[in-house]
Amino acid sequence: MKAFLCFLLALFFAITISTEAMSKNAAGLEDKTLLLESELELAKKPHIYFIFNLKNGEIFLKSRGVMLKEMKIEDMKFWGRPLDTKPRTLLKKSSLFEPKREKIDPEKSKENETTDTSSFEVKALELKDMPTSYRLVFHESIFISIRPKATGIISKLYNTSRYVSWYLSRPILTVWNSIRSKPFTAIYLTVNEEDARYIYWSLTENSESIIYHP
Amino acid sequence: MQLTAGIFKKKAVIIILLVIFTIFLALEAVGFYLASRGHTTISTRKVIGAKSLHELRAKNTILKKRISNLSPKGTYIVVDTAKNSLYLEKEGQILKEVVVSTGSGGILKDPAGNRQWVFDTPRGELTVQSKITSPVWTKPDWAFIEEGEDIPKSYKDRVEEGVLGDYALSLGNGYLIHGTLYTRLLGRNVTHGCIRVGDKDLKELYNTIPIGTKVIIF
Repeated sequence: MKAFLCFLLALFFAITISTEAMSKNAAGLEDKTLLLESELELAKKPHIYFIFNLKNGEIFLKSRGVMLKEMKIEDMKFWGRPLDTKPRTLLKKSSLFEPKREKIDPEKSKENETTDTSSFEVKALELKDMPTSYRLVFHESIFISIRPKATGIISKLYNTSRYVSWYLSRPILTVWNSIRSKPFTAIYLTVNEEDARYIYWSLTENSESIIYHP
Repeated sequence: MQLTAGIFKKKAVIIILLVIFTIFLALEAVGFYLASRGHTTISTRKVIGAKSLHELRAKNTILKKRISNLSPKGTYIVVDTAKNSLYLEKEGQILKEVVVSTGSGGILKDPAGNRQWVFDTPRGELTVQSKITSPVWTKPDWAFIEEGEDIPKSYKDRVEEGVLGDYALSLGNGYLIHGTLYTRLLGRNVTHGCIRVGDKDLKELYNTIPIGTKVIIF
């Protein structure tokens, strides 16, 4: 009788564990299916798109399913409701020091023609001009703060102050948005400096991205 | 007297800090409650529905196949405008890397009108529409405005030879992959939107790339 009871108990645990594992596996596959469905929707269009894979700590820049660039998320903080996996439109990029486009002055061009050409200076918007600290505002009040990995004391202090302001503002903004019956999601991503510049460079307003956070 | 005032001040500061801390905690708690309401991926589950693992795996395989079918077939070009690099690729493998020049991002306004030009290289997927040998540049209005010259009325006055190199690949809407006289500026963002390539690399591209080749620019 004792042996039979032990057998039943063992069987119960085995079934519970395997059911749990199977349901986790199914949930994972369902999430992946949704991600693939969303990507298929974007890959059908002749545009470039980003996939912010917060689960695996990766950012992909792709077009037509072709991987153009892979970036690593060094650190991630998430606040808000879990997001549905679907294409989302970038409404705005905002930064304290936004890169300015060079305004071409025809008068100056004329002057330059007559002066020494060996001292020609390139006036262009290049990757190095892109900010490393900025905020991306997506549809449905999703705010992604991108920050570079701190290297020196000053940048560590700056990052800490930005993180504290993000940390303190998120519950207040949640309450504020809730009063206005709007959703609110705040994501804080730390990436390396070059990747931060790359994201700002390639991600254009009104373009679509997928934020994967099952 | 001073000691009492000092203690009182200290007490007041502590009380203020405590009040701020309590308010923040309350906000944090309310915020957390509001943020985590509906904390399950119910919507996700609704979309997919209850399916077996086998069905899900099969669906994933089909979706992956459908995405990969959208990728360019054969040889294609990838242009990184941030690095000013052009890659000739096949099935995800880089066959050749070339230093190029892409759009400067500059803005030109027509002083006489409301027109404005932004000199960006277009992003996304384009196609090589035609291949041209000994291309001539038909200067658009902006080229004259930028140089502070009057826009000519005759077509003949717009044509300039020898500035686009020996070959050009047209991507449509006036955008070309072409040669350059300013080889020292290769690797910089200096163009009006076209992709400038060095003579030797351009010849190789021209000979390798057929019309219809996909060009992905990012």
